[in-house]
Amino acid sequence: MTDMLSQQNFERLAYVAFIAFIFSMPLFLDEFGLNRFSKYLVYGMLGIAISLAWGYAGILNLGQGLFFGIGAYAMAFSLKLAASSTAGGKTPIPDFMVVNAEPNAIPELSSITTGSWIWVPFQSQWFGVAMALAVPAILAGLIAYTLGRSRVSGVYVAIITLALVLLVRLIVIDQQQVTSGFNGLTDLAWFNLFGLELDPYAKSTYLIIAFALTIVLLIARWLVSTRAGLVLQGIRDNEVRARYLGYSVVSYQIFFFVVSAMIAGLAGVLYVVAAEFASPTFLDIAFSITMVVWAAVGGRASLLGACIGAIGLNFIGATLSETESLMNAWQLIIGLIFIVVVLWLPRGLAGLASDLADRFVTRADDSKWNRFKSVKHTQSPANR
Amino acid sequence: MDERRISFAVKDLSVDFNGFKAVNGMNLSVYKGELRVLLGANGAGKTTLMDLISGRTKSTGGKVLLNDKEITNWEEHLISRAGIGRKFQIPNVFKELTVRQNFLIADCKETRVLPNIVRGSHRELPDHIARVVELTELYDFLGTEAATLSHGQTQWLEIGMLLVQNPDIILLDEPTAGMTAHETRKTAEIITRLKGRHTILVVEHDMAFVRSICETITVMHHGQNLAEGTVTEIENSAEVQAAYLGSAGIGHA
Ligand SMILES: Nc1ncnc2c1ncn2[C@@H]1O[C@H](COP(=O)(O)OP(=O)(O)OP(=O)(O)O)[C@@H](O)[C@H]1O
Ligand SMILES: [Mg+2]
Repeated sequence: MTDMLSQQNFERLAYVAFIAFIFSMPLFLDEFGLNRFSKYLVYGMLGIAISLAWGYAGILNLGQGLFFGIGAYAMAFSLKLAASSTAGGKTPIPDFMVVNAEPNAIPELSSITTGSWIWVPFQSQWFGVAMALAVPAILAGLIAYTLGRSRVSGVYVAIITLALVLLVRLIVIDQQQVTSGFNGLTDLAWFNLFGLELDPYAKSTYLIIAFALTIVLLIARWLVSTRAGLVLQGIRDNEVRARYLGYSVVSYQIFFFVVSAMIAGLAGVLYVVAAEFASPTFLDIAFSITMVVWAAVGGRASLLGACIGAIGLNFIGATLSETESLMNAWQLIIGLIFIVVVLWLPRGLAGLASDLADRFVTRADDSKWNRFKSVKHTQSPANR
Repeated sequence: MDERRISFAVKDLSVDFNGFKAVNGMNLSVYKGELRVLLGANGAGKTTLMDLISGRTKSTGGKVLLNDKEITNWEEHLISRAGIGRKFQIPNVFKELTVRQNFLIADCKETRVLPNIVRGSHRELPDHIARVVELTELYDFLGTEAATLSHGQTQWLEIGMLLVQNPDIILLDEPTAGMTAHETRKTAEIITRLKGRHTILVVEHDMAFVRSICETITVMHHGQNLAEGTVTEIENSAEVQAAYLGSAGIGHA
C-alpha cells in the first residue's frame, strides 16, 4: 500500500510540476520564444493523443497526422475566409480561388470553383472548430469499427492508417482549386475567442494553448483511470479474456480511438492559431511517424511522458538546429535515442523515471512496507 | 433425471478445419446445476467443443442451445453476457496487469463503455472480490503483475476471476493442470463448492477427483459423444476401453 501511494504521489507531483512549468514559460521567454513554445505544446497534445491510442488502446496509428491535418485545415478554412474579401459577390473569396476560378463563374463561394461550396459554412469560425473535432471523430469511429469488426491485427491497422493519410494528402494536393494544394493556406486571420483576438505572439494566446493542453491532459488522465480505462488496458493485454468477460472489444477501442482523434483535431486547430498556416506537410508520413517517435521516447504508456517527450524533443531539436552543423547531428541523435528506447526502455523515459522513483521510494519505506505486509487484509504493495 | 431442466446443449455440432473435423456431430445436454466431466484422449476435441460453445470458434454445422435459446456462433462477449464463463487449458489472464486489476475487470456486471466511465475505478476491493482473493490465496499478490505469478497461482487467478464473474455456466478446461498436490486438492474443494449453484462442464483427467465430485461422465472420441454414464459404467465400458487403447489408459489420457 505504501509504495503504491508513493507511486501515485510521484505521478501527481510530476503532473503538478509540468503544469506549473508550462504556465511559467511567459516569465522566461520573449514573444517569439513563446510563440515557438506554444507550437511545442501542440506537439505535446499530439503526444497525448498517440499515447491514448497506442499506449492504452493498443492501436498503433501511423496516420495520426490525418486527424491533425483535418483539424488544421478545418480551422484554416474559417480563418482564411475571415481574412478574405469579396470578389464582387456577397461571400468572401480566398485569393487562391480567384486565380483558380472557372471562366465566367459567379464570384460566390458556392460556385467559384468546382467544390468550393464546401467552404460556405466555414464562414463561421465555430463551424470550423466543430468540424475540426467532428470529422476526425467520425473518421476514427469508422476506422476503428471496420478494423475491429474484421479483427485485423495491429500491423494492418498501422498500414491502413498510414495509407489513409497518404490518400488524403494526395487529395488535398490534387484538389487545389478547393484546398490551395501544395501551397497550403496562408495569410490567415486571428481566431476570435468571444471578442478576444488571438494574436499568435501574445501572452494570452500562449496561456490559452497551455490551458487547453492542461485540460486535455487531465481529461485523458481521468479517462484512463476510470473503470473503462482499466478495461481498455485489459483489452490491450488480452482481447480474448476481455471478450470472455463480456466486454465488447470494438466498443472500447472505438471510444478511445475517437477521443484520441479528437485530441489530434484540436491540436490541429491550435497549431493553426499559433502558426497561422495549414499545409499538406501536416499530412506527410514522416510527420506522423515522428509523432510516434516522440511518444515512444517519452513513454507511450504514460500520457504525461508522451506529452513531455514531444515537447522536449522539439525544444532540444529547435535549439540545436539554430547551429547548422548540429541540425544534422540532431536527426542522428533522435534516431539513436529511438533505437535505445525501443531496445532497452519499452516504457520510454517515463518508465525509467517511475522505476527510479520506485527504487528510491521503496528503500525509504522498507520498514513501513514490512509492517503493512504483516497485517492481513490490507492491500499489498504494488511491485512496480 | 428427465424432469430436470436442461441448462445448455449441443446438437450435431461440427467444425471443419480445412477438411479435418475436430468436432464431428457432437451431442450433449447438461442439466441445471449439474457438474459434468468431459473425458477423452488427446485430440479428442474437448477444447474445440468448449471453443464452439463459447463462440471462439465458429461451427460449420449443428446448434448450441442455452436455456432452449439458440446461441450458435454468437460473438464471444454476447455469449459471455448470456451467462457462460470459461477457464482455458493454457492460463488466460491479463498478464501485464496486477492481480488486483485482473479481479476488478472480472467484476463485469456492467460491460458498456459509457457507464464504466462514469463509475470510476475502485480504490478498495469490494467485499465479494475480497472473499475470492482470500479463497484463492492471492492476498499477498494483489499488487503483483500477473505475469510474475507461478503457474498454479495463475490458474487460481483465472479460477478466481471466474468466481468473481459468477456466470451461470462454467466451462473448465483442465483446471488442475500443472498444479501442486496442495493446489489440486484445494481446486477440487472450490469446484465442489460451486456444484449446484452453477452448471459446470469440466475436462479433468484425475480419476480420483472425478469419482469424488461427479455423477455423469461424457466421453468424447474423434469429435463425437462416445459414451455417457456414471463413473463405474464408464470405467467398465468396453467401448471406452477400446477407444483408449493405444493411449496410456483412462487415468492418464
Ligand atoms: N484451429 C484449428 N485448426 C486446425 N486444427 C485444429 C484447430 N484447433 C484444434 N485442432 C485440432 O483438433 C483436434 C482436437 O483438438 P482439441 O484441442 O480440441 O483436443 P483436446 O481434446 O482438447 O485435447 P487435449 O487433451 O490434448 O487438450 C486436434 O487434432 C487439434 O490439432
Ligand atoms: Mg484440450
